[in-house]
Amino acid sequence: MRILLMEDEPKVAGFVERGLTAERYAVDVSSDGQEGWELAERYPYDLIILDLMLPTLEGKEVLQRIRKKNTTVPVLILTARDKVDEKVQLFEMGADDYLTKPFAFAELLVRAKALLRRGPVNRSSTLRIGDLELDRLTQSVKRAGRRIELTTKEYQLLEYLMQNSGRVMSRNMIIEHVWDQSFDGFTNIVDVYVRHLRAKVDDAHQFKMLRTVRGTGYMIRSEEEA
Amino acid sequence: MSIRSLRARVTCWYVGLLAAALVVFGASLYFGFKRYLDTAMEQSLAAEATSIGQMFVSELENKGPAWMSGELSESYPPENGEHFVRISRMNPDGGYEVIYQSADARELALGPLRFAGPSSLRNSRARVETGSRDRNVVLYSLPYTLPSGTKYLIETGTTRGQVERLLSSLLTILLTLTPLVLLGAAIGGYLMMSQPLKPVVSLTLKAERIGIGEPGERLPVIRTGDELERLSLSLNRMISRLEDALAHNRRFSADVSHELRTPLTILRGELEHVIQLQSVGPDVAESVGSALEEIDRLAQIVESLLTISHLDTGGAGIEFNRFDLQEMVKTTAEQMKLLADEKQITMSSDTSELVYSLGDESRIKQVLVNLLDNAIKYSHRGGHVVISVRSDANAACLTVKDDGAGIPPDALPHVFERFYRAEKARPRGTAGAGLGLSIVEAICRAHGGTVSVDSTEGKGTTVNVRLPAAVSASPPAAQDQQAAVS
Repeated sequence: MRILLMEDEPKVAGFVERGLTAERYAVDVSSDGQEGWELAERYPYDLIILDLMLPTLEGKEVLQRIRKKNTTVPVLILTARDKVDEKVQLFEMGADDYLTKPFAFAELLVRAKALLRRGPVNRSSTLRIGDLELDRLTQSVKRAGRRIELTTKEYQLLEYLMQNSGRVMSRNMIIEHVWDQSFDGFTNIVDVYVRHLRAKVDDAHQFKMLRTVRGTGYMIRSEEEA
Repeated sequence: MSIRSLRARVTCWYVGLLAAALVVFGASLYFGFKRYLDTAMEQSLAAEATSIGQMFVSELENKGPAWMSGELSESYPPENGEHFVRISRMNPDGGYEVIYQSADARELALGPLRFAGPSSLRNSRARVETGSRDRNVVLYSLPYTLPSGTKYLIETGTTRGQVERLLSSLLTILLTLTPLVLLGAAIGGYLMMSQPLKPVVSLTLKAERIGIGEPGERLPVIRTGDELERLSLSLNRMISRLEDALAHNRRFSADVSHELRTPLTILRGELEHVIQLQSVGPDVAESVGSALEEIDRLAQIVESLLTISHLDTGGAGIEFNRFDLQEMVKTTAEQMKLLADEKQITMSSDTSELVYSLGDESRIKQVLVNLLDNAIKYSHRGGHVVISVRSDANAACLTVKDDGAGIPPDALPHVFERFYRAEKARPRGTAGAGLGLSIVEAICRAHGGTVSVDSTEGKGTTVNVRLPAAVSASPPAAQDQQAAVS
């Protein structure tokens, strides 16, 4: 899988490239609109990550040219602006996803994987991590064969974490997927729910599957992954 | 319109001036007319005296006093009204002897009439005497000397009754007409003033409507070529300058956000990278994690400030849709239930009334989430939070009431200010920067609604939000929930 990253801020480009390479993607980086466009034209990339503020050729212009030439490559936009009408405009121009700075790398990765159709598209009816099992049809959860009673929100939270097992999910991502944008802000609702979930899932067991990564978020992983 | 309005004042001014002009005019008319009547009366009395002298007194010595009396009585019959003729002869001793006196003279009871003094015999003149019943009588004396040398004095007179009647009716006319004319002028003028003032009124209405949210809106230019045109042009130039300043401010916010977001992205990216390294010990991970938390908070503050600035400048793109406020309260309370449970707070919602509001549902939900979050944060363990929804005159009302710590009275006016937090009310370890209520306020204002807070220290806080109501399409359902969500 080959990814083109167009970002003129070298440090941002640096850590994104590092992270994506660590996930075993091939990454080309361009800090210039014109140059990036030429790269995009020449190679059949699987994903283009595009910053909107670029020298010589603006991100929007690049997006338009890409869409004129090649309509299939997914494009993920990075921007520091977040006006609603601008978002709509970008989607109309053919962007596939949109990420506002400052973003967590984990979120970028999740979105990139989703666009590459490799990520959280696990829609099988049963999710299984170690001895934890979640059945989407019956909405029932079992650990080591014993049934765990969860509330709706706890179930949704666990399902989201299990879909992305082994990856740290930030509070913002969890809020956006399990609650909604209105909860963005100062509320500590995610922490409270994770605490409750942890009590139900982990308390009776030696190995704690739910892990807090301070300053970053939460993840769920199996004993083998730990 | 009030008495202080321009229209009322201008009307008062010119009605006053008109009144002064009318008084001067009326007075001149009255006294001029009086003078004219007096002169005319005198002249007619003089003419009468002269003709009596030529026609009758000249024949007195030939035809005798009896003839003269007869002729005079015929010419000036008693029913002639308040008319008076008297003829006297001067005796050699200087005294006068009345030789004829018309019946009216007696009737007028002029009493002991003064004779005009010796001077009267040389020059004719008019005088005024007071008769019975205080009636003023004008007398005219004409000395008449016969060729025989006998001197006579002819006096003609009349009461001033007719003149006074004329004058008094003139006065009546003036006194009735003047107020009527003034009243008419006042009403007409007041109505007429509306014409030149119309542009001012429309200018005012338009100026009221121009919000800071719609750039490019201008006042209508009044093409009259007068002061009003200049006023409208100056106002428009002022609006342009304000818009420029505002646009500059908005650009500044966008620039700041961009400038802050990029370094924050880098900071977070680098630190996330560090924390993932295998070689990192738990102490370093702890410190880096703490730094990441602060980055989150910083990012949150930048976001909140931007949100407020977008809401304030109308750039938030609020979409007005009709939505079920009651339903929103139910789901939000459900979503936040666990936060309340953590502190054993009972959260209940009174949603017995079906209320539809008009607004951006996700924004309004943000309001409720913020208010509930605050209510839970500042409530004591085991406290109560009550959410109620109802509709009153054109507004959908949302109330969040808690029995927590309350807000000190001196802090109450400031709770919606950015970054303001009542020190005493700040519980330990709460994140945020005191922007929650500022956002609530900005959202309410952007919806054309209001938010108010009422609090007693130690007793609890009540926050009232008023939002535009949507006309309910369905009849109020008889839903009975005093649903305890807890």
